[in-house]
Amino acid sequence: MAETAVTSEVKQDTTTPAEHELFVNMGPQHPSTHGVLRLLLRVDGERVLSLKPDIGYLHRCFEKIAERRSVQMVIPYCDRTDYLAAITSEWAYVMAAEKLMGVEVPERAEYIRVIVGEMQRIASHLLWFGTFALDLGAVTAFLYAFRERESLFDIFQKLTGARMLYNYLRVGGVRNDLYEGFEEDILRFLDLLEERLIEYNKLLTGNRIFESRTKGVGVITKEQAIAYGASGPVLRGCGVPQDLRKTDPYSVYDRFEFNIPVGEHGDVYSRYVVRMHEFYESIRIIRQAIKTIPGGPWLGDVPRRMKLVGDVYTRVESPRGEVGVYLVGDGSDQPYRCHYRSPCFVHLQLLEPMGVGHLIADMVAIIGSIDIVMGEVDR
Amino acid sequence: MFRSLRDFFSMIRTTLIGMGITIREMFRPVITINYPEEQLDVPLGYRGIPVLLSDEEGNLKCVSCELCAKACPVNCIEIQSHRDNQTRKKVLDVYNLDSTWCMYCGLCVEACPFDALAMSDQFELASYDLPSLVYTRDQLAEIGRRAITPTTNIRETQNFGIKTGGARR
Amino acid sequence: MSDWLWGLFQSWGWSESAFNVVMGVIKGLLVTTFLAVNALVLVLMERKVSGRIQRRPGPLRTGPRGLLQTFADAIKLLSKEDIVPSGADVAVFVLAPMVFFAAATALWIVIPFGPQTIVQDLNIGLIYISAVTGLSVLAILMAGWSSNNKWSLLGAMRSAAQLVSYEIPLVLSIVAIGMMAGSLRLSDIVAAQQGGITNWFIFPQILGFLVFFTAGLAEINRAPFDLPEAESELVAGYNTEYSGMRWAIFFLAEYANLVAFSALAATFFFGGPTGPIFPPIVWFLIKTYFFIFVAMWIRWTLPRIRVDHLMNLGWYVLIPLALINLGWTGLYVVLRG
Repeated sequence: MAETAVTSEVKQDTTTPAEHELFVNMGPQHPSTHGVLRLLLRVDGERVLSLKPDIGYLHRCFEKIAERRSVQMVIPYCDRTDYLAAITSEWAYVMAAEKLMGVEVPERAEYIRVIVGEMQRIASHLLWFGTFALDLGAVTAFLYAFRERESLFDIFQKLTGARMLYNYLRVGGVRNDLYEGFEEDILRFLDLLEERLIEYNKLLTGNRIFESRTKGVGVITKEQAIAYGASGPVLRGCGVPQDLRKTDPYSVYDRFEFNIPVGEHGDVYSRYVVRMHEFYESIRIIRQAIKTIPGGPWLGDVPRRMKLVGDVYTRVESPRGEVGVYLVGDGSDQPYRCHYRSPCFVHLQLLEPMGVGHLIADMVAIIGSIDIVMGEVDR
Repeated sequence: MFRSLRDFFSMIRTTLIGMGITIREMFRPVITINYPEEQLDVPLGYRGIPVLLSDEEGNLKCVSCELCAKACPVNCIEIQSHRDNQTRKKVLDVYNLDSTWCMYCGLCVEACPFDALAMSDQFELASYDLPSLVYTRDQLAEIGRRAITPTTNIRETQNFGIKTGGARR
Repeated sequence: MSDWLWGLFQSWGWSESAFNVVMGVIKGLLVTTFLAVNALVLVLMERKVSGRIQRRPGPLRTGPRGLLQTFADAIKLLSKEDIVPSGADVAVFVLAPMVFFAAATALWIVIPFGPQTIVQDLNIGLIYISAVTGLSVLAILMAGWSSNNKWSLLGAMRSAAQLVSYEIPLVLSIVAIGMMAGSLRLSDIVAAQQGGITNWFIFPQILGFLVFFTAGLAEINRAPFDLPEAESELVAGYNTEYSGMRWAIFFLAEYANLVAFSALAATFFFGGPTGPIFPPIVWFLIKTYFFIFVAMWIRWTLPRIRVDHLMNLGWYVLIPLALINLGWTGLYVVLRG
């Protein structure tokens, strides 16, 4: 079905194929499409004339499943939408359910959520940094980033019991309290990370070849980004200081001091720089949260019989952008309707304005710079 | 990009900086754990396969209330029981956990009100044949009896977990 | 040894041409063996070096400390199915790895391992080198074209496109060496650098070395110039469709090219097999392996350069630099008298 639909699109595109033009299928088994993205490229030599992203290879009916499960049971599925930033997608969902049920979240739980959320941002950005470097051919930076990511995952494992798919947030709080010695672990890691970030910057950011590969590539304007509905580092890379943690503060983010890093040119390099700065902002937030975390319960009073009433849209700043969950309740414990807004899905639409006119080698850099997770795009 | 010599020399300079970093890393110790021979210590509460716990006499604590099966998002737990005529208590006959479906979320353990289930640290569950991946009551109970951490007050322990020492089944 | 064999052959009553044929075969076998042994060492070395740089131990399981890894790799590759894709131009597809290997081996004819140890001391050695180095591009083009795969084709086209941009500075930097030595014969170049470190060409030719090294890395498709097979962009470039033994031959030839490039860098700028105490072949290997290590070190540090940037680099930077170097060399030679 999908196959025929896609071919017809290609045929539309080939009405007058020039002799020197070539159709290339980039993906779904390409090393640099980050999963199962397929790009239909029309190229002249290596220059991309037009491109069409083809998605759906990883569709797992998340929204339908969410409508058929009680609220608690969906949380593990949320992990599996954006599997590189499980906490933030859980967070959006849990927040929506809390609003529908009118559950109060204890303050300590909110602080814990902020801490693990920022840890998640660091973990996700580390993976992005690694794969982005790998796309550009710098294999060593990739392994360095994964080394740090693993030591962060060790902390996650101690805290939540899993390394990637945590199932940690609960309606009304978090699953369990911070463990004994968490503070030392995380602070030690942050010190290490700050040291290593200097190394990353020397190895890659300052490198002339890296600059030449990223500067001026995949440019989108502010207006384009806003018109397409971009969010997160892609939007901030264009110079729009839009960060839900600041502009629409949820949880206890309004109590912390941090900046919104903003890029200048809207190219791959700007997005890269924004993310590299976000490491430091996340480190700052975690340090503040650790210092000021209050005591008390970590799971609020949740009625045994969960009742979802009304509808709500909650949004969370995930490492990739705005993750939103729209929930409609009909009085039962299963949502009547669940919609999951994926930032990567939106950013995929931006591939065309970003990529047309560039080389295939740049396409790889562009895909890397918008940091897509196909699990989230297809849901 | 390389229109000027300055660019070329800055490329060489930054390359040398990068090479300085890689050569420094080269003489640091390797961080690899040679997995089957060396193993990392799995922390308490690591979510391996959920197992059945027994009391001091070795009887299963499970009362066949099926709350775990209801809490499971993927329906991977199958429970069959009968009521004992003398004690009027439910006796667990079949407790099959299909580990091919299980996503190790731990919701079953959270749902259990009797400390009868816990997340074990068993993770080396690979097998060559599919049917052996369905864990039966006795297999799960056997792993549960190997626990070296307290098996009471599971709800209070970190992540509802137990350690069984050694990850091999 | 050559004289002794000649005497033996004369006593058997063989003609000189027959002797030349036999000697050619023996030398060819020796060079091929040398390359094969080097490739065995290099595959392991590459993996160990990359491993250490990335804080991994590298291969460990096959043999003591993974020393037999290359043998295991070779056995695996030999036993794999040899696939020729449907729609491929079979003759060209089969021929391409052989041409590639032949081009890599042919370079070794003029490289001096020691004062007398050289396969054929051509009096046009430098011209021969600049002629043969371009041959591998032909093989890559053949492989890319015949595979009937778009990625392969793109890889091959990249290779052809970048050829001109690095070949000219490479040749220009080699010409400067010829001027320094006053001869195109490689043994003369080595002889000109005899007598201590101060006679090495690297000092007057530092600029030439820079050009030679950069263009040389591009020539042998090493990172950061591994564009024709850029893994993250073109899947595997020109050897996407190759498997088993044919792919292994490409692999072998690539390492042969790496050794040849390092040997040339050592010969041109660092005195080749000259050096105190140790026999010449040891010095030759030490210097060669130093440059191999540097090439690996660079590979595991840098991101890949973009194809048009490489061309800019060639045309706007390397060629002017090479020309400046050529002028400076002329001045130097005249002033030296």
